[in-house]
Amino acid sequence: MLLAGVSVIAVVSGVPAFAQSHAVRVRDEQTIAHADPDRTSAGILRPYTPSEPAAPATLEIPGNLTVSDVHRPLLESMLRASPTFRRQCARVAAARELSVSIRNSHQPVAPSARARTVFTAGASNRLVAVVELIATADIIELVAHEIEHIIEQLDGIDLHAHAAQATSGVRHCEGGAFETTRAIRAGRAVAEEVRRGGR
Amino acid sequence: MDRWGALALASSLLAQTDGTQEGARLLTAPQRDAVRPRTAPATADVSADGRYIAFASYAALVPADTGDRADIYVLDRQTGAVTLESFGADGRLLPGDTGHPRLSGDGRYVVFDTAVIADAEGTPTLQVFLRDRVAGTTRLLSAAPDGRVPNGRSGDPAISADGTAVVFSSSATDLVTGRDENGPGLDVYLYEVGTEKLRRISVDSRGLQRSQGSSYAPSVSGTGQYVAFVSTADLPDSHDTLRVSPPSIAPKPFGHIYVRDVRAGTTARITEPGPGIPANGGSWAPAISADGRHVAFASVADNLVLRDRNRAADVFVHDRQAATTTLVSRSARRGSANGASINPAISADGRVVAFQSDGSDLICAGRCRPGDEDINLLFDVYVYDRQAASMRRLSGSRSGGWLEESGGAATSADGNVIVFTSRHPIDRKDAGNDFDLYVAVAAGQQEIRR
Repeated sequence: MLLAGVSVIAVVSGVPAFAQSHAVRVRDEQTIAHADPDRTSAGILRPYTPSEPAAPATLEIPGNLTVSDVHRPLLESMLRASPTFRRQCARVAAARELSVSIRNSHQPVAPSARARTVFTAGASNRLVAVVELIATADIIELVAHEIEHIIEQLDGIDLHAHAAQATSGVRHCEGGAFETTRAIRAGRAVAEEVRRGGR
Repeated sequence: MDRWGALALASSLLAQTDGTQEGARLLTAPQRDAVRPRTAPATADVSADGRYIAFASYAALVPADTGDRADIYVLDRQTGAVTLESFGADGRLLPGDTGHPRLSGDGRYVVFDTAVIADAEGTPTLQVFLRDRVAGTTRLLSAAPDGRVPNGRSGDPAISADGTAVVFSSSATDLVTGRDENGPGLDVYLYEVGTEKLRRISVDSRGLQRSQGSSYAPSVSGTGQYVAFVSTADLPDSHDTLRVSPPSIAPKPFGHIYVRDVRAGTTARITEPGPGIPANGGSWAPAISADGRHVAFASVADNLVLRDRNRAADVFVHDRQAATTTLVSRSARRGSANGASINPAISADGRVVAFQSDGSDLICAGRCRPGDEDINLLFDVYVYDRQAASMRRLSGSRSGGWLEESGGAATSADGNVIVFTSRHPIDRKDAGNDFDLYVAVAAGQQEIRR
């Protein structure tokens, strides 16, 4: 079975008795009250409400993500339909040190893989990510999958360390690459969201 | 009883209720901290009863906060009010980043560190301050005997629950009179709030300081009697001779956890698999219970418990009375987790330990329900109830763990209120990918009144 995609990191950079002593009485709230309204505010602590990922201000492909004219309509439709892909693009757009390019490949990009991302470190801590895809029916999943690999690098995840642990969600692939459950799930989530959005 | 079991469900219910239902709850406040290192200690703390929460925030939460630096705020869960506290002794807002806030049990005192300028060249050095929220005063604790800013950096403050003792680490050589044997190496100091007396406590049971090594990251018990800290110096009271090799051939020393009984004047190493046998790897980040009996810490040693095979940092609890060390950051399979676990916080009685881990098998291993999976490859916050032997992930919701990083937990005395930070968005508008404050309140605890 072919892998959905892989990430290739080319350059990554004597004890006495114990008396209980924690019974601390809370002081009357008036004693700690602050009279100066400039130093006090209310309504800061709020209930957490699980919500969909924050949508970027505009539904545009990030400026640091270079795509061909062939791929552009596809990514724009993904942006419209998928909150998960919008989250991914927001992360990419916010990473000023990152450059991403997505391009087609006409031959297998890696053994048993249909997509891969190669990372190289550029000057001034610049991270360059090149996503290579074989055009297939599930290209939406592949794009989102590879973008998640890029976000893994932005998050500073040590894939080597995780791959050394059992059932960690990271495994070595051929050619020094890694595959992660996280990227697989992200790709599938975006594909599902686009599918539902297209109905 | 498992106090944290209903967290995920209650989080989603909060959107529809006023928060009065039984069940664990999750609350948020902005910190907008984009620069917090993932292994950094907690940037927030909780009072003993969970009512007050001190936290550092880059967000300007009150009108008086006019700068873009991190400031210390204290939040009162009962009134809903947040107050700015990072003022200097002159009553003016401190100009630099302030951090590492720690609260006394009643929320009256908050200690923190911030950079101050003391020399003619204008070089900033980190120093420790104590804020009395009742008197509205702030004083420099890491001061030389004549009151001056000392000649080294001070930080890592902690305060006893009763507010009588503050501990911190410092590289200064002029904080107390007499020779500083290890020069600019870090030492741990204890400040008595009542007497304003400062003394060095990273010494052996004879009161002697070592010329080699550093001591840091102190944690203090409820009354200030016991202080746990990390030291790369050789402090065991069972040793009379120093085993110091020439620097050129000496292996890099790693830290052990020591507990100083300030009243008895004794120091004991607790990172030992057996009497006199040292741990075979570094230990750090101790957190001591209120009575001084239990000490939680992180360690990469693999000889503290049997079958520690993950070759990663784990969180342990040492029971000083029973002289036992147990693994806390355990896999659902009962062995060590498949990732690193660090930065523990411990409840007053030692029962509840909160910590962060990038392992993925603490809640489930193998076939997991979708909500139990951990695929983010990043630190998440867990709480382990040692009595109930139950592990819960706090950095998640009903649908599963968050994709973003979480860490830096602190706990109330009873373990029912745990604060931590996470890059997870606090609401739909939060697209900053920065750390914000999360407050997890266990089932049956008091909710905010508005």
